[in-house]
Amino acid sequence: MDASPAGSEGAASPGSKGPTALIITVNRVKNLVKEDAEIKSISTEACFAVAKATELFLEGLASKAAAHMQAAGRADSLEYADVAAVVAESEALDFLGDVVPQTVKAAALLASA
Amino acid sequence: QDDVGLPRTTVQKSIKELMPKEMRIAGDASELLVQCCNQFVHLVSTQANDISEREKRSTISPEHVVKALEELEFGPQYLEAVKAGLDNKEHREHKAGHKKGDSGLTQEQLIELQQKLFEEARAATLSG
Repeated sequence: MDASPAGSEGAASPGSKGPTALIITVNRVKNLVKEDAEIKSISTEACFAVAKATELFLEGLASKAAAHMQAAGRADSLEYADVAAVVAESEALDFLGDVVPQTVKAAALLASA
Repeated sequence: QDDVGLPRTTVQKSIKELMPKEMRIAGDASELLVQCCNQFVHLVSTQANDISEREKRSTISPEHVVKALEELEFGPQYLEAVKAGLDNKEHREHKAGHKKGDSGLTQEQLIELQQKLFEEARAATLSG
């Protein structure tokens, strides 16, 4: 049997509070992965690893978006455009192309030209 | 759908903890972040799946996930954070004696390392 996940189910505890605490719970990752028909089987521990990496990814993305917001002279509220701009500007985030509409990407490219 | 994918409220809460107190997050911004995370999960798990198939394994293991992160070139801080998490998890679950592959770090040291890595990740993403 799989060992029960170390993170608390549904609790919002950021990764920086401890190595095994999770923002994203193991079961959520497992359900998400199962949606993918090509993936037959994944261990709980592998889901934990994915969750940890996703946590780091989220923190990085949010930080960048916040930096974008501040650079734009705003400080009150993180907007869709801040996140979208970060995605559009980074080649490493090209895999998010389906999530962020192409029109936003084009606009960002034009803005930085 | 709230059944699969990451819960938006949880994501919102954790982002708020990273940001100054007065800062808010627009609903569609956190929704977009959730979508990005879901996509990331699919990306990494697909890559890990490819690796497990290469190794003729039927189940994706944490080692496959680590290798996937390497191949996807997100950066060394991802590898360190995941390895630290897996290592610490082993410490928690195997209280008696030392397990093979023990990194030798205490729980406290692992937590410190984790925090340091997250800070470095944040700094790296801000300057990148």
